[in-house]
Amino acid sequence: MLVFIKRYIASIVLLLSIVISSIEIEMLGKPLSNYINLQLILIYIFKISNPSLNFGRGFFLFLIGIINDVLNGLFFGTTGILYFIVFAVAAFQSSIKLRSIFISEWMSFAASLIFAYLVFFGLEILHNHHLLFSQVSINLVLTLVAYPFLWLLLTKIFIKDAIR
Amino acid sequence: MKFASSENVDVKKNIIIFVIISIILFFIDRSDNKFFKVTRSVINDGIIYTTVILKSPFNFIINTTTSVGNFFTDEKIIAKNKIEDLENEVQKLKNEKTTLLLQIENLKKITGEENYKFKTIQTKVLFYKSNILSETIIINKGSRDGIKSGDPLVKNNLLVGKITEVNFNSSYGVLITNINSRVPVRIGDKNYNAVAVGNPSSNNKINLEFLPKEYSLNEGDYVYTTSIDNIMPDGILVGKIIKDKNENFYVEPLYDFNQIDYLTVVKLGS
Repeated sequence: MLVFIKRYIASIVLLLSIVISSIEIEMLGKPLSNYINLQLILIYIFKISNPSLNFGRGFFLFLIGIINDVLNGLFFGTTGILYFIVFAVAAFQSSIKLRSIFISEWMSFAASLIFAYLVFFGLEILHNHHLLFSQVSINLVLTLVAYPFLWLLLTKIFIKDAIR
Repeated sequence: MKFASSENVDVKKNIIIFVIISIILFFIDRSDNKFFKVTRSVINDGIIYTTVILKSPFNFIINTTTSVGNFFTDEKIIAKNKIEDLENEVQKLKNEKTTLLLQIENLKKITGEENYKFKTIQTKVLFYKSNILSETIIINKGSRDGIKSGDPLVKNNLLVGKITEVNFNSSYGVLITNINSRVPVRIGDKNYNAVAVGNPSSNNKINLEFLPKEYSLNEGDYVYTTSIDNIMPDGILVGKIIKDKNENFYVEPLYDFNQIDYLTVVKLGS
């Protein structure tokens, strides 16, 4: 059981983060998920700190994306596209690095995040939905600020043994 | 040392494949295909109810932690908080009574009836998710219970939101404060027609669009739904008019959106 959890820790943590995010944890009158996009940070950190970790060759990532779409009332595939943008950048970054340079990893995360949010904006326009640019910008900045803290927390604790 | 293992090449291929599948799924879902709609309803119900089960231990932990925390809190503080809560409750009930009396008066004028002519159904809120991607309420009743897209969500005769999508055993809804919500309303004694739209900068304000060219609103005027084109039943209380420093009028919702646990769906199709 423990071996199973260790092997699939990335997918399990990502899935749990989606389930838990539906429990209201508020900060300044708004849910915490309004400020930080925890899932995108998790995907990036898991991949960058363990290049052999592939979320079941991408299948679990796709599946978790569908679950998130259902719980958020989004069209199927919306979250999956965002997840795979960040995952692809992390995969590229982890394949070219000779040694870990935190700043370059952080910057490439910023680039992947901006690209993912731009794609999301495009998809929402197709859906005739309005999005608040200010809210998305705050979320983007705070997600970037939260990245180093989560990086420290996760890479030093429990993902080295995860291989799927 | 492996620079390009077969698994890594596979993963790169899989990323491209899954992105293409996601894009195809997005466009099929968006196209409102009948067969896909049924499939989606089944998948939605399955995932929603599985997540409810998965979420329950976390809810239990949070509730237990809160209870334990309260146990160690000073009794005086607890008593003080209770008194404050009760005072708030009394004030809230007074307000509710006033608004309900006004609403009944108005309904009598319009329909000569005191109750909605539509059937209602009680529902439990399974999820309320609010993040930058979306704001969604998921309730535990769906098309099998006669719920349809566009049905209003109310509580204590106050409009909370409306249904946006229906599965077999669950439905999605959106709050009236959401920027994507549009509700036809009438305002005050003069019954000005307008459309209430969620305010982008505040969760406690609703904008008014399509007001007549000449209008005179007063602070405190009540705002009700109107049945233009039969997309909403007439006479559900939405909120009251407030004015900001720049002399702009807004609607302040009367419902406390922190208490979304059980809601009533007014079935328009009935």
